[in-house]
Amino acid sequence: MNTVAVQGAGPTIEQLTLLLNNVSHAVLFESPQHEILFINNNFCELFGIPVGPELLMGTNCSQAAEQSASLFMDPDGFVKGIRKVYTEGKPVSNEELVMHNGRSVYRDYKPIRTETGLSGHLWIYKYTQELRAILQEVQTQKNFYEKLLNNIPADIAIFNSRHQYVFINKVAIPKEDLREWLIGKDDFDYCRLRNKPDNLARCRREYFHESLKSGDMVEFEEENPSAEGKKVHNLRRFYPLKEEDGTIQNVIGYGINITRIRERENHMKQQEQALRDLVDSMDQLVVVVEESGSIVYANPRWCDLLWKPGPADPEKKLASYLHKGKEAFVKQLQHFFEKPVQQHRHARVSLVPEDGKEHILSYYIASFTNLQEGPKRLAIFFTDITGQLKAEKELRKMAKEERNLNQLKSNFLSMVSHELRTPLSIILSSAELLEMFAGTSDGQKGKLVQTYTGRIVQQVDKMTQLISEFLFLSKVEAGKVPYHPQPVNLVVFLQKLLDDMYRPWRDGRAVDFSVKGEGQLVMGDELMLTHAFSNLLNNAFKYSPGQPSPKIRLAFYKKSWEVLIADQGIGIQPGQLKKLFQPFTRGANVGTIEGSGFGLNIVKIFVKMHKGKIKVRSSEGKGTAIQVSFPCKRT
Amino acid sequence: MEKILIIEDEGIIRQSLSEMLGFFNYEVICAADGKAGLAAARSASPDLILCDVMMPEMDGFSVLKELRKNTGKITPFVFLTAKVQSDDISKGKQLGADAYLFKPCKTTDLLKTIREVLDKNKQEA
Repeated sequence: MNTVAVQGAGPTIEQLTLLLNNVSHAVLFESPQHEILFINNNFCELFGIPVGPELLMGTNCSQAAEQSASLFMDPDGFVKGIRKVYTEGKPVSNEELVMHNGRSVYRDYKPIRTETGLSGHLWIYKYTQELRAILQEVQTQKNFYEKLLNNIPADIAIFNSRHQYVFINKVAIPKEDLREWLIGKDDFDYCRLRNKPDNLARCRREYFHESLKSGDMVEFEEENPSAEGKKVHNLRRFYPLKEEDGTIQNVIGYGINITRIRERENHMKQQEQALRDLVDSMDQLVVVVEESGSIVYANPRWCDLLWKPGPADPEKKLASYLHKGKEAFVKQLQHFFEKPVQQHRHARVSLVPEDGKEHILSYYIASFTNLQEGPKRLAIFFTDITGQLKAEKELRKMAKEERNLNQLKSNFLSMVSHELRTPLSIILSSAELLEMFAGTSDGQKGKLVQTYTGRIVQQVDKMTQLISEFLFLSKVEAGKVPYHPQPVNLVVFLQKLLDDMYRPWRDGRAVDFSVKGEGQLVMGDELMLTHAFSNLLNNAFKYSPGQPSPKIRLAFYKKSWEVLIADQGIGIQPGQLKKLFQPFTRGANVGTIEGSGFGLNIVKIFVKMHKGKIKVRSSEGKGTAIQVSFPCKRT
Repeated sequence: MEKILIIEDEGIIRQSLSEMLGFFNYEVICAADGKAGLAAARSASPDLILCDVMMPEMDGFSVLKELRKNTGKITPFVFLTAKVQSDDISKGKQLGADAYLFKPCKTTDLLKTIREVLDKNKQEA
């Protein structure tokens, strides 16, 4: 309300009085000395003054106020409020006062000043329901927006153009008293209050000024320690509110806690780095290419393989480094880009690096099937198999050489055997003829000749036997004696063998045979078994001259069968046991007992062909027991 | 006298066998290789052929095979050889050899085998 014109061409006092009596508010105008200069009907009605306004003109307002205080719920407050207003001399609007009758009134005060100074005090009491409703609505709206702002999970503050807080929400500052204290203050005040360094305030001030200057939103990230000492990341923004005339009176500041997002990002970065380290440490060369064939990434094996320091040149296509198999490789890549599959069978390509040595690489292609955005990419895993191929080639060559050598050996033995037989034939036939001629002459000379020719014949027999065995051993070692298993009745088989050859043996002893367990048919090669058991029995007899007969025991078990051949002969020296089954080996204690030295070697091979095992127990001077056991393959 | 044809490339064996068989009243004719032996077998009509296996150009198996092609008189055939592998023995018998003896062969065994084969042939004739 401005200065009232009371003189000149304006309205008359009566007209003004009429006007003021018809407004819906209670109006009182007092002089600086607190004399009532004007009062309307509504005022009298509100305060329950029984007389008309005209009778109150010129009366003391202060006294009237004190008298009226009792109408209000807080009489002291009513009076103090008036005194405060007088003292401060500042306008007041919509000060709510509650009366005892339940009515609420809203009081406005305005000091009226003219050129000469204070003209008076204007009091307006508003109590219409409409105004109340409006004010309530405003309050409701205010509460609603304040609640909204307080419940948004972000720090929200509103600043004036001097970067002082006008509003701050609960999320930013939970304590109400601190929030109230901050209104009208800035971050520097806050830092002083908290006794903290003001670098945070300075940093925010800079961004604030930037937003004021540019008139645009400014965004920045803050990292602060929490009360528990953990790092808290906030994304902050200053959003200047432009008035219609383009000036900025207020700036909205808000911050969102992005600590978890940053933690997840860090975690993902760590995982990504771990994966990258893993790929970098792989023995394989890993290359990632785009659809154009350009290299996006290559792990450190790239430098090792290509003798190139530094990373792969992204301008150069991968195919340009390849040699044999390049066309097929390029086709495979194209096919994969069109129709990616998870796995691909290994193919080969060669690569010729700076040193000129060709490398053969085995590769397989994998696509990044989860990559929905960005260019398509493929990962190719290369394994350098150059060394492996070379080793395989060497092995094949060695195997071929060994086969050739074996064949050579076999041929040699065959030839030697054949060639030796011819001179032996001559020696034998000549000796026999001599023997025949010597038989026709009488006397000692004739007998002597017969003795000597007899020896020649005997030794030729031995040599022939030796050649046969030697040839047989070479055949067995070369794997040229095939294994033909048939169902064998072991009891019958052994009985026949023993009856044919060892009952009796040449020295008159007969072998002692026993059977343990229930006899059964088993799968075996009779020729091999005959050879093996004959050899063992021959040894048992040969190496126990003058001792009781050797024993042979056949035993049947659930999953195996065994033959035990035991003698009480010369036994085997402890140091000789390990070499027993090696060819051309004989015990040091055999003396004059004859033997070729490779019989047991053949026995071992035949037993092994039957998947059997041999165990030897022996004591020098006491005897030897050889146990041969076989898994039971029942028919 | 019964006639024996010896087909053997080793001269000393031919000589040794000739002397020995002669000593036991056999008439002996010799051939130094398979071809000559085949020709002698056809021309001389021996009662028995004693043949080596390993000979140059034409081995003993081939000689027997050729001889057995004739559908007329079948001369008894005995191998006397240093080839002692079981495959060789089987092959010899399959081709129709009456006996297969290994070198060095005892004189008694040789004479016994020759006698048995000759007697068997006479019986069959």
